[in-house]
This record gives sequence, structure tokens and C-alpha cells, in this order.
Amino acid sequence: MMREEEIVEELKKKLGGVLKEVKIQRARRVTIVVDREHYKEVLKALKDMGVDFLEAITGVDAGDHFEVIAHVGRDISVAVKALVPKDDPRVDSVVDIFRGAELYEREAWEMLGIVFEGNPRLRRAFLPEDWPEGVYPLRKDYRPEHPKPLR
Amino acid sequence: MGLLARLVRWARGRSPWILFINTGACNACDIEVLAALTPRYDVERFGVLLRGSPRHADILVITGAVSRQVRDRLVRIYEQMPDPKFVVAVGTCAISGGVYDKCYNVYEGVDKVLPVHAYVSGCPVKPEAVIRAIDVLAKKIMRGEV
Amino acid sequence: MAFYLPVGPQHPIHPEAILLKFKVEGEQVVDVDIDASYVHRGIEKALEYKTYTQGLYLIERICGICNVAHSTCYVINIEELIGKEAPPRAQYLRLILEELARIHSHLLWLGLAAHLIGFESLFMLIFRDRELVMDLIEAMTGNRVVTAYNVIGGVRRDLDDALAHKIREALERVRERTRYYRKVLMEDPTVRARTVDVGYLSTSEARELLAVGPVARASNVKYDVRADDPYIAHDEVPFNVVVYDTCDVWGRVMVRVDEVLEAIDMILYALDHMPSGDFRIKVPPIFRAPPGENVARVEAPRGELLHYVRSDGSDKPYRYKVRTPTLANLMATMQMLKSRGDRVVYVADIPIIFGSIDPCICCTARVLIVDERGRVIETTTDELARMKRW
Repeated sequence: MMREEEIVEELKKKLGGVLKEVKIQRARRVTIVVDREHYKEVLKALKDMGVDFLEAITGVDAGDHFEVIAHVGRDISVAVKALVPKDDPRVDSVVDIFRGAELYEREAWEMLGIVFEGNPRLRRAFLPEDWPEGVYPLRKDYRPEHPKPLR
Repeated sequence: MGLLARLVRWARGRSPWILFINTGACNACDIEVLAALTPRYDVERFGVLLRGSPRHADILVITGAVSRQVRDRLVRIYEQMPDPKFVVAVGTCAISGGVYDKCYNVYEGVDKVLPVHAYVSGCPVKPEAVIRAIDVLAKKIMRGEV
Repeated sequence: MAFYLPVGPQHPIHPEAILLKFKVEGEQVVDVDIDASYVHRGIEKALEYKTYTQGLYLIERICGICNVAHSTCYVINIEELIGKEAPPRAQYLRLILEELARIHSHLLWLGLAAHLIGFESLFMLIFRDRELVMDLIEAMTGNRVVTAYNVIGGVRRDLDDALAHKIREALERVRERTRYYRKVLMEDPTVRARTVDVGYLSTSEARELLAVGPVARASNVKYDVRADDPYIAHDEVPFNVVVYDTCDVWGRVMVRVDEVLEAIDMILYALDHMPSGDFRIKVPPIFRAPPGENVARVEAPRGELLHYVRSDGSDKPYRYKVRTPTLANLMATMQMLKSRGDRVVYVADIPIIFGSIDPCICCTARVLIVDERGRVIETTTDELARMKRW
């Protein structure tokens, strides 16, 4: 049995009902879709199984909802996708599982306004200091414009 | 014009000290400017010296479209330079924003923020082009045209 | 009595605009903040407004030094998304260029590292020899730095025997010089004094803080995307993953020197075993991608680079995400820059420790403010200006 299938089998055994969708796209690429309540649980389970490397956390404005995608794994890249409603964009932070996740979560918070509950330093990070509050550039309703010339 | 003023102008053109700053470039122009300073191209033979402080510099070499966050700092650095001061915009994105069209965080070129005396085109520029720009600018300084 | 020592946004140790704020007690660094927002440009948003072909040109200009890694990652990502594959010869050509770019990037870094520890003659010598590689990249692609060589469906130019011969000859010279530099860096007492046991990052810290690339490999974490998740022709071209267990700046220097030597062997092997055939398949300049998502990973010179694309069926990406190696390494850098226990970090070591991750801020274009003891240190322009006045 391939290692991808082993991971999927073990996850199903551990948290069977939680996984909404499990797909092995190709060798070394697995996608798992869960509700936001179980996002942290799945990442914790993966870490306990030895998948101890978090590659990135991506936020996506998918129209009627947000998606938070955590890519984990060194040789096999497992994408754990959490569906987050737009009117209440909250999801559990995973900083206590992966210490290095802090920056990735801050980026998603700043660019899309998704709140990661439990991240101790969820502050304005890489937008300029005079950027208006409540404007999230990676949301679909934001139209990019160059700043006005000084001279 | 008196002899002393002519001498000062001549000296100024023979030893233009540069300050080099990246205001949001992709690093490609930066390493080409760096290459211009190293043995193969060796811009120092024209009396050019790279300085670390704006207070020592005559020419401000800017790579990259200016980002919103860096704008105020750039203006401040420019203000700290002693007169007369000159600005060279290196690379297409320093001229017009170039490839960073639709990027919400950058100005469309350095000249939207500071007065510019020489433009070097290319994406990225070649080290030869940087040397030529500084050389041409230095000669103009010597002749008193800028 | 603690002082705050700002370094940047304009500072001789690093030409890119970045602000490092150190809290120092005497000569010792006790805390550090990094603010890298100065080169944020908004590229991820702009990519949503460009067709897949136009996006390639913007992707290359995320970072000029790692442009080959970015464009390789982008093209394999889009090719997988639209279900096309570049011919085998193109994969080999991509590999050759990728490794040439790695040599150029590592030599650039070695030169800058020599500069940062005050070894100016070594800096100039390495930069002189780096020009040999720049010439090869120019001969192969037509440009020295931003290459525009990878395209969706293959590469832009073929490689003929004359050029292959030229590459072989020049690389022998580069190898000879690199071996010499390796000897210098291993034995020279000044280099050792400035790098051994400086910028310590233990194996467990590297794992926990998600370090990638040479930083992780110098801390004995054997992780290299080329070996773990092979892309282009990496499953056919043999190489060794270079790992050191010294966990310090010296280890990071040696990882990069050895990777240059490995890359030379890989290029020579690829030239000998290059398959014949087409180097490009036809892909129309404007095309619609089927709805879906894909993720691609590449081992850039600085570490693992990840690209994620989401398509909604139109000719432009719905979302494009880039996670660059420097962003992944910044948390680890913060750890290295702080004195902890008997591992004291001195102000004089700041440049080389920060430099040892090979920071590429334009790649990262993201910020962070870290305060280990819960202190928030916010900087305003005025405050910064006041500090810059002394």
C-alpha cells in the first residue's frame, strides 16, 4: 500500500466522521476537506502520525465562503482545507502545534480578514502602516489601484 | 564663474559617491548594480564609491518601484543628502512601475515621488548600462548641465 | 540598561529595505523584531488580473535572484493544472538552468557572507568567478539575471553542442575555484573565528520553527524537495543531499559550498544524458484552465518554495499563492539572533547571522514583529526618524 493511502486510512480510523472529503490527487498529493471546527483536530492527528512539517497556510476567498488551506508534509503534501463562513470568519489557530505557523496565519488574517483564534500576535504585519482598517486586499471585492503620485 | 567654483564642479564630477537603495525592486537590478561594483565591471575606476550613509552621497541610485511603506523613508533619505544631489532611477519598474501593473502597493515609478536626473532602462538593467548612466551623469555634473 | 538599536530600512549590511530592531544590553542582543513590509508590492492580487501567460513574467519578478526557481515552480504548477506535460528534453534543460541559477545564487551569497565578516578580498574574488556562471546563463537564455527561459509547455531555446561544450569547460573552472574557496572557508582562521558556533539553531529548533533549505540542512534536518518530492528531471539525475550537523553559520556556509559542487556534477550528468526530441510543446498564449487547484514545490536556492493555484475555469487564476523560503526561515532567524542561556549573540555578529539565511526580502514581502516576552514594540516613522538622527 502506498504511504498516501496509509495516511488516509489512519486518519479515517481516527476521525472517520469528521472528514467531509478525502482525495488522493496523484502520488504525493492528498486533499482533505473538513469543517472549521475539526481543522485543528486533523492537523494534530497528522502531526502525531509523523507529518511534522507545515509548509504554508493559504486563505482563499471562494465567493460565498472562505477557505483556509494548510499544506503539511515533507515528501507527501497533504492539503487540509477548512471551510469558513463569510459572516463569521473564525478558525482555530495552530500555533501551539506548529510554532512556525504564526506568520502564515498573520498573513491570512491581514490579507483576507480571517481571524485565527489563539494566535497571540494577530497584528498588522506587512501592509503599510497607513493602510485603512477593514480593507482586505485579497478579498474578491477589492480592486487594486496604484497610490496617487506625490508630485 | 570663478576658478574655485569650476574646480569644485570638476572635482564633483570626478568622484561621484553613490548611495544605493532598494525601494521594492525584485533584487535583479540590485545584483546587477552590485556586479557593476565588482572586478569584472569595476565602476570604481570612474571614481565612483559606494557609501553606506546618505550624508556621504552625491548620487542616490534607486532600484524598484517605490512601495507605499518605503515612500516616507525614501523622501527622508533624500532630504538627508547634502546638496547638490542627484537621483538615478535604475530599471523599468523605477521608471514607470513596469511589470508591477495592478500591484496596489507600489507607485508607478520613482519620479512620482522624487525628482529624477537619469533613467536606466532594462528589466533587469545590465551592469554596463549602470556604469554608462553614472558616467554620463558625472560628465553632465562636470559641465554644470544638471 | 537596555537600548534599542534599529538597523534599516536603509543600512549598509543589507541593500534591501528591511528594519531590524534589536534590544541590546551592552554588546549582547537580547531581543529582536523584524519588519519586512517595505518591499510588499501586492503581487498575489495582481496575478488575479493577468492571464496565465502574462503571470509568468510577473512571477519571475517576485525575486530576481530566485527567478528561475519561481518560474520553474509556476510552469510545472500550471502545466499540471491544465494537464499538459513538457517534453523530457525540456525537463533536462530546466534542470540545467535551475542548477546554474543555484550556483550563481550560492556564489553570490558566499561573496556577500565574506563581505559581512569583513573579508573583502574573498568577496571580490568570488564575485569575479561568479561572472563565469553569469556568462553561461546569458549564453543559454539570452539574459544574465531574469532569464524568461521557462514557458508553459517547455523552454524557450534549445541547447546545442557548442554551448554544451562551453558549459562543460566553464564549469570545470568553476569547480576548481569552488574547491579552492572550500579549502579557504574550511581552514582560514578568520572565517572560522567569525562563523563557528555563531548563530546557533539546534535540530529540534529547526524542525519546530519550520526551517527550510540550507538553514535546515546545516542543522541536520535532511529535507530537500529535489529528493523528497522530485520534479522536472530530479528523479533521473542523481545527487547527494548535503547535510551538516554543526547547526551554526559555518555549517550554512559549507552546505552552500558543497551544493555548488553537487550542482556542477548534476549539470554535467544532465548534459551527458540529455534526451533528444522537442524542447517545447505548443500551448496557445491565451487558454482557459479547467476548474481545480494544484500545488507545486521547488527547491529554490534558499529552500522550499511553494506555489498554489486555484482556477475557476477562466483564463486567469482565481487565486495564486506563493510561500517563499525566506518567509519560512524568518522565525528561525529570530531564534538565532537572540541570546539564550550561554549562547550569547553579540552586536558584531548580527550581519552574518541575519545574512546566513540568505535573506531575500523582496521574495518574502511580508512582515513580522516578534517579541518573545510579550512586549510590543511598535515603530512609527517619527520615532524611527528620531532614532536615525544620532
